Amino acid sequence: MVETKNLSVSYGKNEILHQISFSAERNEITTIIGNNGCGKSTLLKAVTGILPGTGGEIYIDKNPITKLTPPERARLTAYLPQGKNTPDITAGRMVLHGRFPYLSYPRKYKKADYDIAEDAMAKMGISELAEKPMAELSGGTRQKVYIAMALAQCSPIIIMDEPTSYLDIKQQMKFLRIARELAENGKTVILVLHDLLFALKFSDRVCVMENGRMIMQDKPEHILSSGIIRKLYGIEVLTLDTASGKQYYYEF
Amino acid sequence: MRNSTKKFRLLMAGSLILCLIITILSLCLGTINFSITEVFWALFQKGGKMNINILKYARLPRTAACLTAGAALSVSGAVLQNILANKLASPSIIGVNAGAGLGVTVSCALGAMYGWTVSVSAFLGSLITVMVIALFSVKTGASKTTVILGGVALNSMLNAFSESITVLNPDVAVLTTEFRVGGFSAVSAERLLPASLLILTALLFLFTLFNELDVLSLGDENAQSIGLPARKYRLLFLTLAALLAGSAVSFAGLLGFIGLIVPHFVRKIAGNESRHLLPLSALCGAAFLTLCDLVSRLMFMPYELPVGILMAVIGGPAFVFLLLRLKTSHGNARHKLFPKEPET
Repeated sequence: MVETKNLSVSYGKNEILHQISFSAERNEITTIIGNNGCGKSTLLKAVTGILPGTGGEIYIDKNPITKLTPPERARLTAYLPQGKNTPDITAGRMVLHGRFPYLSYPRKYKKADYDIAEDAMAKMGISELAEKPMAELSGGTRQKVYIAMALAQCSPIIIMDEPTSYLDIKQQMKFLRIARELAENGKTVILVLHDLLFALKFSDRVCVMENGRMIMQDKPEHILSSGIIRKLYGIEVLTLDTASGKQYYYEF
Repeated sequence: MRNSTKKFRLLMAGSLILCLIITILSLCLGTINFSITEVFWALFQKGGKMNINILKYARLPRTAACLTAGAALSVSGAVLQNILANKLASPSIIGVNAGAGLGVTVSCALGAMYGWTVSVSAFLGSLITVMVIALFSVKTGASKTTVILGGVALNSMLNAFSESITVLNPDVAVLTTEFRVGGFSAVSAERLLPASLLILTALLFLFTLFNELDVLSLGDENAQSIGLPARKYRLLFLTLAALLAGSAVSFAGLLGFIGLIVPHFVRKIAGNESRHLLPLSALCGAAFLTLCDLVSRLMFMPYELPVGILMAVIGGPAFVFLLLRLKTSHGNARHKLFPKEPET
Protein backbone atom coordinates (compact mmCIF):
# COMPACT_ATOMS: atom_id res chain seq x y z
CA MET A 1 0.00 0.00 0.00
CA VAL A 2 0.95 3.65 -0.42
CA GLU A 3 0.27 6.31 2.18
CA THR A 4 1.12 9.99 2.40
CA LYS A 5 0.71 12.18 5.47
CA ASN A 6 0.58 15.97 5.05
CA LEU A 7 2.80 15.72 1.96
CA SER A 8 3.99 19.01 0.47
CA VAL A 9 6.09 19.32 -2.68
CA SER A 10 7.68 22.44 -4.15
CA TYR A 11 9.41 23.36 -7.40
CA GLY A 12 11.88 25.94 -6.14
CA LYS A 13 9.95 28.39 -3.97
CA ASN A 14 6.65 27.49 -5.59
CA GLU A 15 4.68 24.98 -3.50
CA ILE A 16 2.74 22.67 -5.83
CA LEU A 17 1.25 20.15 -3.41
CA HIS A 18 -0.18 21.34 -0.10
CA GLN A 19 -0.35 18.88 2.82
CA ILE A 20 -1.78 15.93 0.95
CA SER A 21 -2.85 12.89 2.95
CA PHE A 22 -4.07 9.93 0.99
CA SER A 23 -3.73 6.19 0.85
CA ALA A 24 -4.03 3.49 -1.79
CA GLU A 25 -4.71 -0.06 -0.66
CA ARG A 26 -3.78 -3.52 -1.89
CA ASN A 27 -6.31 -5.28 -4.14
CA GLU A 28 -7.68 -1.92 -5.24
CA ILE A 29 -7.46 0.47 -8.16
CA THR A 30 -7.10 4.01 -6.86
CA THR A 31 -7.59 6.65 -9.52
CA ILE A 32 -6.59 10.29 -9.18
CA ILE A 33 -8.62 12.80 -11.18
CA GLY A 34 -8.54 16.57 -11.46
CA ASN A 35 -8.12 19.39 -13.93
CA ASN A 36 -4.86 19.95 -15.84
CA GLY A 37 -2.13 21.37 -13.64
CA CYS A 38 -3.77 20.41 -10.33
CA GLY A 39 -0.71 18.38 -9.24
CA LYS A 40 -1.68 14.78 -10.12
CA SER A 41 1.61 13.95 -11.86
CA THR A 42 3.61 15.74 -9.17
CA LEU A 43 1.92 13.60 -6.53
CA LEU A 44 2.84 10.42 -8.44
CA LYS A 45 6.45 11.56 -8.83
CA ALA A 46 6.62 12.26 -5.10
CA VAL A 47 5.27 8.86 -4.06
CA THR A 48 7.73 7.13 -6.40
CA GLY A 49 10.63 9.11 -4.93
CA ILE A 50 11.44 10.96 -8.17
CA LEU A 51 10.56 14.31 -6.60
CA PRO A 52 11.55 14.98 -3.01
CA GLY A 53 8.81 16.05 -0.63
CA THR A 54 9.38 19.34 1.16
CA GLY A 55 7.14 18.37 4.06
CA GLY A 56 5.18 15.40 5.38
CA GLU A 57 5.79 11.68 5.03
CA ILE A 58 5.46 8.98 2.39
CA TYR A 59 5.18 5.28 3.20
CA ILE A 60 5.59 2.51 0.64
CA ASP A 61 4.31 -0.77 2.04
CA LYS A 62 4.73 0.79 5.51
CA ASN A 63 8.41 1.70 4.80
CA PRO A 64 9.28 5.42 4.98
CA ILE A 65 10.38 6.29 1.43
CA THR A 66 13.46 8.09 2.74
CA LYS A 67 14.80 4.81 4.14
CA LEU A 68 14.62 2.98 0.79
CA THR A 69 17.49 2.87 -1.70
CA PRO A 70 16.60 3.53 -5.38
CA PRO A 71 16.63 -0.20 -6.31
CA GLU A 72 14.56 -1.09 -3.19
CA ARG A 73 12.07 1.61 -4.15
CA ALA A 74 11.93 0.30 -7.72
CA ARG A 75 11.33 -3.26 -6.52
CA LEU A 76 8.31 -2.00 -4.56
CA THR A 77 6.86 0.47 -7.08
CA ALA A 78 6.66 0.39 -10.86
CA TYR A 79 6.02 3.83 -12.31
CA LEU A 80 4.95 4.71 -15.83
CA PRO A 81 5.53 8.46 -16.31
CA GLN A 82 3.48 10.67 -18.58
CA GLY A 83 6.37 11.94 -20.74
CA LYS A 84 8.58 9.25 -22.17
CA ASN A 85 11.69 9.17 -24.36
CA THR A 86 11.97 6.98 -27.41
CA PRO A 87 15.31 5.30 -26.83
CA ASP A 88 17.36 3.74 -29.65
CA ILE A 89 16.80 0.17 -28.49
CA THR A 90 14.47 -2.68 -29.38
CA ALA A 91 11.07 -3.16 -27.74
CA GLY A 92 12.22 -6.46 -26.21
CA ARG A 93 15.28 -4.91 -24.60
CA MET A 94 13.12 -2.05 -23.37
CA VAL A 95 10.75 -4.43 -21.56
CA LEU A 96 13.70 -6.41 -20.23
CA HIS A 97 14.96 -3.23 -18.53
CA GLY A 98 11.90 -3.55 -16.30
CA ARG A 99 14.05 -6.17 -14.55
CA PHE A 100 16.81 -3.62 -13.92
CA PRO A 101 16.05 -3.21 -10.17
CA TYR A 102 16.80 -6.92 -9.70
CA LEU A 103 20.18 -6.85 -11.46
CA SER A 104 23.12 -7.93 -9.38
CA TYR A 105 26.73 -8.61 -10.30
CA PRO A 106 27.83 -9.56 -12.96
CA ARG A 107 25.18 -7.08 -14.12
CA LYS A 108 23.61 -9.44 -16.66
CA TYR A 109 19.96 -10.32 -17.03
CA LYS A 110 19.25 -13.96 -16.21
CA LYS A 111 16.99 -16.46 -17.97
CA ALA A 112 14.24 -15.80 -15.41
CA ASP A 113 14.39 -12.07 -16.30
CA TYR A 114 13.98 -12.86 -20.02
CA ASP A 115 11.06 -15.16 -19.23
CA ILE A 116 9.30 -12.51 -17.12
CA ALA A 117 9.85 -9.88 -19.83
CA GLU A 118 8.47 -12.26 -22.47
CA ASP A 119 5.39 -12.93 -20.30
CA ALA A 120 4.81 -9.19 -19.87
CA MET A 121 5.04 -8.68 -23.64
CA ALA A 122 2.64 -11.56 -24.25
CA LYS A 123 0.19 -10.01 -21.76
CA MET A 124 0.24 -6.75 -23.71
CA GLY A 125 0.03 -8.64 -27.05
CA ILE A 126 3.35 -7.37 -28.38
CA SER A 127 5.51 -10.54 -28.36
CA GLU A 128 6.15 -10.35 -32.08
CA LEU A 129 7.62 -6.85 -31.74
CA ALA A 130 10.54 -7.90 -29.52
CA GLU A 131 13.18 -7.24 -32.19
CA LYS A 132 11.60 -3.99 -33.48
CA PRO A 133 13.37 -0.73 -32.66
CA MET A 134 11.25 1.54 -30.43
CA ALA A 135 11.58 4.40 -32.94
CA GLU A 136 9.73 2.34 -35.58
CA LEU A 137 6.65 1.73 -33.40
CA SER A 138 3.48 3.83 -33.34
CA GLY A 139 2.65 5.92 -30.26
CA GLY A 140 0.06 3.39 -29.07
CA THR A 141 2.37 0.40 -29.51
CA ARG A 142 5.16 2.24 -27.72
CA GLN A 143 2.77 2.86 -24.84
CA LYS A 144 2.07 -0.88 -24.69
CA VAL A 145 5.83 -1.53 -24.53
CA TYR A 146 6.14 0.90 -21.62
CA ILE A 147 3.23 -0.76 -19.82
CA ALA A 148 4.84 -4.19 -20.42
CA MET A 149 8.06 -2.81 -18.96
CA ALA A 150 6.20 -1.73 -15.82
CA LEU A 151 4.55 -5.17 -15.59
CA ALA A 152 7.97 -6.85 -15.92
CA GLN A 153 9.03 -4.95 -12.80
CA CYS A 154 6.81 -7.35 -10.81
CA SER A 155 6.38 -4.83 -8.00
CA PRO A 156 3.50 -4.95 -5.52
CA ILE A 157 2.61 -1.34 -6.35
CA ILE A 158 1.95 -0.12 -9.90
CA ILE A 159 1.64 3.60 -10.53
CA MET A 160 0.74 4.87 -13.99
CA ASP A 161 0.30 8.42 -15.22
CA GLU A 162 -2.29 8.52 -18.02
CA PRO A 163 -1.56 4.96 -19.17
CA THR A 164 -4.42 4.98 -21.68
CA SER A 165 -3.07 7.92 -23.68
CA TYR A 166 -2.18 6.98 -27.29
CA LEU A 167 -4.26 3.78 -27.00
CA ASP A 168 -7.40 3.27 -29.10
CA ILE A 169 -10.66 2.57 -27.24
CA LYS A 170 -10.33 -1.23 -27.55
CA GLN A 171 -6.80 -1.14 -26.17
CA GLN A 172 -7.88 1.23 -23.37
CA MET A 173 -10.54 -1.24 -22.29
CA LYS A 174 -8.06 -4.10 -22.51
CA PHE A 175 -5.52 -2.21 -20.40
CA LEU A 176 -8.09 -1.37 -17.72
CA ARG A 177 -9.09 -5.03 -17.53
CA ILE A 178 -5.42 -5.90 -17.02
CA ALA A 179 -5.26 -3.25 -14.26
CA ARG A 180 -8.30 -4.87 -12.62
CA GLU A 181 -6.67 -8.30 -12.87
CA LEU A 182 -3.49 -6.94 -11.27
CA ALA A 183 -5.49 -5.47 -8.38
CA GLU A 184 -7.36 -8.74 -7.90
CA ASN A 185 -4.00 -10.52 -7.73
CA GLY A 186 -2.99 -8.43 -4.74
CA LYS A 187 -1.32 -5.38 -6.31
CA THR A 188 -1.88 -1.79 -5.33
CA VAL A 189 -2.76 0.04 -8.56
CA ILE A 190 -2.68 3.84 -8.72
CA LEU A 191 -3.72 5.55 -11.95
CA VAL A 192 -4.11 9.09 -13.19
CA LEU A 193 -6.92 9.14 -15.74
CA HIS A 194 -8.55 11.97 -17.63
CA ASP A 195 -11.52 9.90 -18.74
CA LEU A 196 -14.02 10.24 -15.88
CA LEU A 197 -16.18 7.40 -17.16
CA PHE A 198 -13.26 4.97 -17.01
CA ALA A 199 -12.24 6.35 -13.61
CA LEU A 200 -15.74 5.80 -12.20
CA LYS A 201 -16.25 2.42 -13.84
CA PHE A 202 -12.93 0.75 -13.12
CA SER A 203 -11.79 2.25 -9.81
CA ASP A 204 -12.37 1.07 -6.28
CA ARG A 205 -11.48 4.48 -4.96
CA VAL A 206 -11.32 7.89 -6.63
CA CYS A 207 -9.20 10.80 -5.35
CA VAL A 208 -10.13 14.26 -6.53
CA MET A 209 -7.48 16.98 -6.66
CA GLU A 210 -7.79 20.70 -7.13
CA ASN A 211 -5.00 23.31 -7.03
CA GLY A 212 -2.49 21.02 -5.31
CA ARG A 213 -4.93 19.81 -2.66
CA MET A 214 -6.75 16.52 -2.24
CA ILE A 215 -10.34 17.67 -1.92
CA MET A 216 -12.10 14.32 -1.76
CA GLN A 217 -11.32 10.59 -1.77
CA ASP A 218 -14.05 8.00 -1.71
CA LYS A 219 -15.80 5.22 -3.61
CA PRO A 220 -16.80 6.17 -7.19
CA GLU A 221 -20.53 6.24 -6.46
CA HIS A 222 -20.04 8.57 -3.48
CA ILE A 223 -17.80 10.85 -5.54
CA LEU A 224 -20.50 11.03 -8.20
CA SER A 225 -23.38 11.59 -5.78
CA SER A 226 -21.46 14.34 -3.94
CA GLY A 227 -21.72 16.62 -6.99
CA ILE A 228 -17.99 17.39 -6.89
CA ILE A 229 -17.53 16.38 -10.54
CA ARG A 230 -20.18 18.87 -11.65
CA LYS A 231 -18.52 21.56 -9.53
CA LEU A 232 -15.00 20.78 -10.71
CA TYR A 233 -15.53 20.09 -14.42
CA GLY A 234 -18.88 21.80 -15.08
CA ILE A 235 -20.27 18.62 -16.67
CA GLU A 236 -22.88 16.09 -15.68
CA VAL A 237 -22.11 12.38 -15.43
CA LEU A 238 -25.21 10.18 -15.35
CA THR A 239 -25.59 6.54 -14.35
CA LEU A 240 -27.58 3.75 -15.86
CA ASP A 241 -28.21 0.45 -14.12
CA THR A 242 -27.86 -2.40 -16.58
CA ALA A 243 -27.63 -6.16 -16.39
CA SER A 244 -23.83 -5.88 -16.57
CA GLY A 245 -23.72 -3.38 -13.70
CA LYS A 246 -23.62 0.39 -13.40
CA GLN A 247 -22.78 2.26 -16.60
CA TYR A 248 -21.73 5.91 -16.74
CA TYR A 249 -22.23 8.46 -19.52
CA TYR A 250 -21.84 12.17 -20.07
CA GLU A 251 -24.84 14.44 -20.56
CA PHE A 252 -24.22 16.72 -23.55
CA MET B 1 14.73 -11.08 -27.89
CA ARG B 2 17.78 -13.32 -27.86
CA ASN B 3 18.47 -13.54 -31.65
CA SER B 4 20.54 -10.36 -31.67
CA THR B 5 23.15 -12.05 -29.46
CA LYS B 6 24.01 -14.49 -32.27
CA LYS B 7 24.51 -11.65 -34.75
CA PHE B 8 26.63 -9.79 -32.19
CA ARG B 9 28.88 -12.82 -31.66
CA LEU B 10 29.43 -13.12 -35.42
CA LEU B 11 30.23 -9.42 -35.69
CA MET B 12 32.62 -9.62 -32.73
CA ALA B 13 34.41 -12.60 -34.28
CA GLY B 14 34.65 -10.78 -37.63
CA SER B 15 35.95 -7.59 -36.02
CA LEU B 16 38.48 -9.53 -33.96
CA ILE B 17 39.84 -11.30 -37.05
CA LEU B 18 39.97 -7.99 -38.95
CA CYS B 19 41.75 -6.34 -36.04
CA LEU B 20 44.29 -9.19 -35.93
CA ILE B 21 44.99 -9.02 -39.68
CA ILE B 22 45.47 -5.23 -39.57
CA THR B 23 47.71 -5.56 -36.50
CA ILE B 24 49.92 -8.10 -38.32
CA LEU B 25 50.06 -5.85 -41.42
CA SER B 26 50.96 -2.87 -39.24
CA LEU B 27 53.83 -4.85 -37.71
CA CYS B 28 55.05 -6.22 -41.06
CA LEU B 29 54.78 -3.26 -43.42
CA GLY B 30 56.79 -0.04 -43.43
CA THR B 31 60.00 1.41 -44.86
CA ILE B 32 61.46 -2.05 -44.33
CA ASN B 33 59.02 -4.93 -44.84
CA PHE B 34 59.12 -8.02 -42.64
CA SER B 35 57.56 -11.42 -43.15
CA ILE B 36 55.17 -12.75 -40.52
CA THR B 37 57.82 -15.28 -39.47
CA GLU B 38 60.40 -12.53 -38.99
CA VAL B 39 57.94 -10.55 -36.87
CA PHE B 40 57.11 -13.63 -34.83
CA TRP B 41 60.74 -14.46 -34.04
CA ALA B 42 61.63 -10.82 -33.42
CA LEU B 43 58.90 -10.66 -30.77
CA PHE B 44 60.81 -13.41 -28.95
CA GLN B 45 64.09 -11.50 -29.38
CA LYS B 46 65.27 -13.83 -32.11
CA GLY B 47 66.59 -12.87 -35.56
CA GLY B 48 68.57 -9.83 -36.76
CA LYS B 49 69.32 -7.12 -34.19
CA MET B 50 68.00 -4.45 -36.54
CA ASN B 51 64.73 -6.32 -36.98
CA ILE B 52 64.35 -6.67 -33.23
CA ASN B 53 65.08 -2.98 -32.66
CA ILE B 54 62.71 -1.75 -35.34
CA LEU B 55 59.93 -3.92 -33.95
CA LYS B 56 60.67 -3.25 -30.30
CA TYR B 57 61.15 0.50 -30.48
CA ALA B 58 59.04 1.53 -33.47
CA ARG B 59 56.44 -0.86 -34.89
CA LEU B 60 55.25 -2.51 -31.68
CA PRO B 61 54.71 0.66 -29.59
CA ARG B 62 53.19 2.36 -32.60
CA THR B 63 50.74 -0.46 -33.35
CA ALA B 64 49.84 -0.77 -29.66
CA ALA B 65 49.27 2.99 -29.51
CA CYS B 66 47.02 2.91 -32.60
CA LEU B 67 44.97 0.04 -31.23
CA THR B 68 44.61 1.64 -27.78
CA ALA B 69 43.81 5.15 -29.04
CA GLY B 70 41.36 3.82 -31.64
CA ALA B 71 39.46 1.78 -29.05
CA ALA B 72 39.48 4.59 -26.45
CA LEU B 73 38.34 7.40 -28.74
CA SER B 74 35.62 5.30 -30.39
CA VAL B 75 34.14 4.11 -27.09
CA SER B 76 34.40 7.63 -25.68
CA GLY B 77 32.46 8.92 -28.71
CA ALA B 78 29.78 6.25 -28.33
CA VAL B 79 29.32 7.04 -24.62
CA LEU B 80 29.18 10.81 -25.23
CA GLN B 81 26.59 10.33 -27.97
CA ASN B 82 24.38 8.33 -25.58
CA ILE B 83 24.80 10.62 -22.58
CA LEU B 84 24.33 13.88 -24.48
CA ALA B 85 21.54 12.20 -26.52
CA ASN B 86 23.29 13.68 -29.52
CA LYS B 87 24.56 11.60 -32.42
CA LEU B 88 26.91 14.35 -33.54
CA ALA B 89 28.84 14.34 -30.29
CA SER B 90 32.40 13.06 -30.35
CA PRO B 91 35.45 13.96 -28.25
CA SER B 92 37.13 15.92 -31.04
CA ILE B 93 34.05 17.90 -32.09
CA ILE B 94 32.82 19.10 -28.70
CA GLY B 95 36.29 20.08 -27.50
CA VAL B 96 37.08 17.16 -25.17
CA ASN B 97 40.25 16.35 -27.13
CA ALA B 98 41.21 20.04 -27.19
CA GLY B 99 40.75 20.17 -23.40
CA ALA B 100 43.03 17.17 -23.05
CA GLY B 101 45.49 18.85 -25.45
CA LEU B 102 45.53 21.94 -23.24
CA GLY B 103 46.15 19.69 -20.24
CA VAL B 104 49.16 18.13 -22.00
CA THR B 105 50.45 21.56 -23.08
CA VAL B 106 50.23 22.94 -19.54
CA SER B 107 51.89 19.80 -18.17
CA CYS B 108 54.77 20.13 -20.67
CA ALA B 109 55.08 23.86 -20.01
CA LEU B 110 55.49 23.05 -16.32
CA GLY B 111 58.26 20.58 -17.15
CA ALA B 112 56.42 17.24 -16.95
CA MET B 113 56.79 15.81 -20.44
CA TYR B 114 56.28 12.06 -19.79
CA GLY B 115 54.67 9.58 -17.46
CA TRP B 116 51.61 9.79 -15.27
CA THR B 117 51.63 13.60 -14.99
CA VAL B 118 50.91 13.97 -18.71
CA SER B 119 48.12 11.39 -18.67
CA VAL B 120 46.49 12.86 -15.56
CA SER B 121 46.77 16.43 -16.94
CA ALA B 122 45.15 15.29 -20.19
CA PHE B 123 42.35 13.58 -18.23
CA LEU B 124 41.74 16.69 -16.10
CA GLY B 125 41.65 18.88 -19.22
CA SER B 126 39.12 16.65 -20.92
CA LEU B 127 37.07 16.21 -17.73
CA ILE B 128 36.75 19.98 -17.18
CA THR B 129 35.72 20.42 -20.83
CA VAL B 130 33.08 17.71 -20.71
CA MET B 131 31.62 19.17 -17.50
CA VAL B 132 31.50 22.67 -19.07
CA ILE B 133 29.61 21.24 -22.07
CA ALA B 134 27.23 19.39 -19.74
CA LEU B 135 26.56 22.50 -17.66
CA PHE B 136 26.06 24.59 -20.80
CA SER B 137 23.51 22.05 -22.00
CA VAL B 138 21.61 22.15 -18.68
CA LYS B 139 21.69 25.84 -17.90
CA THR B 140 20.65 26.96 -21.37
CA GLY B 141 18.33 24.03 -22.21
CA ALA B 142 20.14 24.21 -25.54
CA SER B 143 19.07 22.21 -28.57
CA LYS B 144 21.31 19.41 -29.81
CA THR B 145 22.80 21.51 -32.60
CA THR B 146 23.46 24.40 -30.19
CA VAL B 147 25.33 22.07 -27.84
CA ILE B 148 27.50 20.95 -30.76
CA LEU B 149 28.13 24.54 -31.85
CA GLY B 150 28.96 25.49 -28.26
CA GLY B 151 31.43 22.59 -28.22
CA VAL B 152 32.97 23.73 -31.50
CA ALA B 153 33.45 27.23 -30.03
CA LEU B 154 35.00 25.76 -26.89
CA ASN B 155 37.24 23.61 -29.07
CA SER B 156 38.60 26.72 -30.85
CA MET B 157 39.14 28.56 -27.57
CA LEU B 158 41.01 25.66 -25.97
CA ASN B 159 43.17 25.20 -29.07
CA ALA B 160 43.94 28.94 -29.00
CA PHE B 161 45.07 28.66 -25.35
CA SER B 162 47.29 25.69 -26.24
CA GLU B 163 48.81 27.56 -29.20
CA SER B 164 49.48 30.63 -27.04
CA ILE B 165 51.31 28.54 -24.43
CA THR B 166 53.34 26.80 -27.16
CA VAL B 167 54.35 30.12 -28.74
CA LEU B 168 55.19 31.81 -25.44
CA ASN B 169 57.02 28.83 -23.97
CA PRO B 170 59.77 27.35 -26.18
CA ASP B 171 60.14 24.38 -23.80
CA VAL B 172 56.90 22.98 -25.15
CA ALA B 173 58.67 22.09 -28.41
CA VAL B 174 57.58 18.48 -27.89
CA LEU B 175 54.13 19.54 -29.07
CA THR B 176 54.89 19.32 -32.75
CA THR B 177 52.49 19.69 -35.63
CA GLU B 178 51.95 15.96 -35.35
CA PHE B 179 50.52 16.37 -31.84
CA ARG B 180 48.14 19.08 -33.02
CA VAL B 181 46.70 16.97 -35.84
CA GLY B 182 47.28 13.59 -34.19
CA GLY B 183 49.84 10.97 -35.11
CA PHE B 184 52.00 8.14 -33.85
CA SER B 185 55.47 8.57 -35.40
CA ALA B 186 56.98 9.79 -32.13
CA VAL B 187 54.98 7.65 -29.71
CA SER B 188 56.97 6.56 -26.67
CA ALA B 189 56.46 3.80 -24.14
CA GLU B 190 56.81 6.39 -21.31
CA ARG B 191 53.62 8.11 -22.44
CA LEU B 192 51.86 5.06 -23.76
CA LEU B 193 52.04 2.86 -20.66
CA PRO B 194 50.32 5.04 -18.02
CA ALA B 195 47.68 6.15 -20.52
CA SER B 196 47.04 2.55 -21.61
CA LEU B 197 46.51 1.49 -18.02
CA LEU B 198 43.97 4.29 -17.51
CA ILE B 199 42.22 3.35 -20.77
CA LEU B 200 42.11 -0.33 -19.90
CA THR B 201 40.66 0.44 -16.46
CA ALA B 202 37.99 2.75 -17.91
CA LEU B 203 37.06 0.24 -20.63
CA LEU B 204 36.75 -2.64 -18.18
CA PHE B 205 34.63 -0.53 -15.86
CA LEU B 206 32.41 0.65 -18.72
CA PHE B 207 31.92 -2.93 -19.91
CA THR B 208 30.15 -3.71 -16.61
CA LEU B 209 27.74 -0.79 -17.11
CA PHE B 210 26.01 -1.58 -20.41
CA ASN B 211 22.54 -1.76 -18.87
CA GLU B 212 23.02 1.44 -16.89
CA LEU B 213 24.01 3.30 -20.08
CA ASP B 214 20.93 2.02 -21.92
CA VAL B 215 18.61 2.75 -19.00
CA LEU B 216 19.82 6.38 -18.95
CA SER B 217 18.61 6.75 -22.53
CA LEU B 218 15.05 5.93 -21.38
CA GLY B 219 14.87 9.41 -19.85
CA ASP B 220 15.58 10.44 -16.30
CA GLU B 221 12.11 9.74 -14.88
CA ASN B 222 12.02 6.24 -16.33
CA ALA B 223 15.60 5.56 -15.27
CA GLN B 224 14.85 6.65 -11.71
CA SER B 225 11.60 4.68 -11.65
CA ILE B 226 13.56 1.47 -12.29
CA GLY B 227 16.11 2.29 -9.63
CA LEU B 228 18.96 4.11 -11.40
CA PRO B 229 20.11 7.41 -9.80
CA ALA B 230 20.27 9.16 -13.18
CA ARG B 231 22.30 12.22 -12.22
CA LYS B 232 25.09 10.26 -10.51
CA TYR B 233 25.42 7.86 -13.41
CA ARG B 234 25.52 10.67 -15.97
CA LEU B 235 28.45 12.15 -14.09
CA LEU B 236 30.15 8.75 -13.93
CA PHE B 237 29.78 8.14 -17.66
CA LEU B 238 31.01 11.64 -18.53
CA THR B 239 34.05 11.07 -16.32
CA LEU B 240 34.81 7.72 -17.98
CA ALA B 241 34.38 9.22 -21.47
CA ALA B 242 36.75 12.05 -20.51
CA LEU B 243 39.25 9.55 -19.07
CA LEU B 244 39.27 7.56 -22.32
CA ALA B 245 39.61 10.58 -24.60
CA GLY B 246 42.10 12.40 -22.36
CA SER B 247 44.37 9.38 -21.99
CA ALA B 248 44.33 8.75 -25.75
CA VAL B 249 45.18 12.39 -26.52
CA SER B 250 48.12 12.29 -24.09
CA PHE B 251 50.07 10.04 -26.48
CA ALA B 252 48.21 10.25 -29.81
CA GLY B 253 47.64 14.00 -30.03
CA LEU B 254 44.46 15.71 -31.15
CA LEU B 255 43.08 12.98 -33.39
CA GLY B 256 39.77 13.97 -34.87
CA PHE B 257 36.59 12.30 -36.03
CA ILE B 258 37.30 8.68 -35.10
CA GLY B 259 34.92 9.01 -32.12
CA LEU B 260 32.21 10.08 -34.57
CA ILE B 261 32.72 7.75 -37.54
CA VAL B 262 33.26 4.43 -35.78
CA PRO B 263 30.25 4.46 -33.37
CA HIS B 264 28.01 5.50 -36.28
CA PHE B 265 29.25 2.64 -38.41
CA VAL B 266 28.75 0.18 -35.53
CA ARG B 267 25.25 1.50 -34.82
CA LYS B 268 24.40 0.79 -38.48
CA ILE B 269 25.57 -2.82 -38.39
CA ALA B 270 24.83 -3.82 -34.79
CA GLY B 271 22.17 -1.46 -33.43
CA ASN B 272 22.26 0.92 -30.51
CA GLU B 273 22.33 -1.35 -27.48
CA SER B 274 25.39 -0.59 -25.39
CA ARG B 275 26.31 -4.24 -24.79
CA HIS B 276 26.89 -4.52 -28.57
CA LEU B 277 27.85 -0.93 -29.35
CA LEU B 278 30.73 -0.48 -26.90
CA PRO B 279 32.74 -3.70 -27.44
CA LEU B 280 32.29 -3.50 -31.22
CA SER B 281 33.23 0.20 -31.24
CA ALA B 282 36.39 -0.67 -29.31
CA LEU B 283 37.41 -3.39 -31.80
CA CYS B 284 36.38 -1.50 -34.95
CA GLY B 285 37.98 1.73 -33.66
CA ALA B 286 41.23 -0.08 -32.94
CA ALA B 287 41.23 -1.72 -36.38
CA PHE B 288 40.21 1.46 -38.24
CA LEU B 289 42.81 3.73 -36.65
CA THR B 290 45.60 1.16 -37.12
CA LEU B 291 44.59 0.76 -40.77
CA CYS B 292 44.53 4.54 -41.31
CA ASP B 293 47.94 4.83 -39.66
CA LEU B 294 49.28 2.09 -41.92
CA VAL B 295 47.90 3.84 -45.01
CA SER B 296 49.30 7.22 -43.93
CA ARG B 297 52.69 5.54 -43.38
CA LEU B 298 52.78 3.80 -46.75
CA MET B 299 50.98 6.28 -49.00
CA PHE B 300 53.88 8.69 -49.61
CA MET B 301 56.80 6.48 -48.59
CA PRO B 302 59.51 7.38 -47.57
CA TYR B 303 57.57 10.42 -46.31
CA GLU B 304 54.93 9.92 -43.66
CA LEU B 305 51.65 11.71 -43.29
CA PRO B 306 50.38 12.19 -39.69
CA VAL B 307 47.32 9.93 -39.42
CA GLY B 308 45.27 12.86 -38.05
CA ILE B 309 45.35 14.45 -41.51
CA LEU B 310 43.89 11.31 -43.08
CA MET B 311 41.27 11.14 -40.32
CA ALA B 312 40.27 14.75 -41.02
CA VAL B 313 39.99 14.06 -44.77
CA ILE B 314 37.64 11.15 -44.08
CA GLY B 315 35.91 12.61 -41.02
CA GLY B 316 35.11 16.11 -42.32
CA PRO B 317 32.74 14.96 -45.08
CA ALA B 318 31.34 12.25 -42.78
CA PHE B 319 30.45 14.90 -40.18
CA VAL B 320 28.72 17.11 -42.78
CA PHE B 321 26.83 14.07 -44.09
CA LEU B 322 25.63 13.17 -40.60
CA LEU B 323 24.72 16.78 -39.82
CA LEU B 324 22.57 16.99 -42.94
CA ARG B 325 20.96 13.61 -42.29
CA LEU B 326 20.12 14.43 -38.67
CA LYS B 327 18.78 17.85 -39.62
CA THR B 328 16.16 16.21 -41.78
CA SER B 329 15.26 13.43 -39.36
CA HIS B 330 13.07 13.81 -36.33
CA GLY B 331 14.19 13.34 -32.76
CA ASN B 332 14.09 14.82 -29.32
CA ALA B 333 14.84 18.50 -29.85
CA ARG B 334 15.88 19.25 -26.33
CA HIS B 335 17.55 17.20 -23.69
CA LYS B 336 17.95 18.17 -20.06
CA LEU B 337 21.12 16.66 -18.73
CA PHE B 338 21.01 17.12 -15.00
CA PRO B 339 17.46 17.61 -13.77
CA LYS B 340 17.09 17.91 -10.04
CA GLU B 341 17.01 14.59 -8.31
CA PRO B 342 15.49 13.66 -4.96
CA GLU B 343 17.77 13.55 -1.94
CA THR B 344 16.25 10.53 -0.32
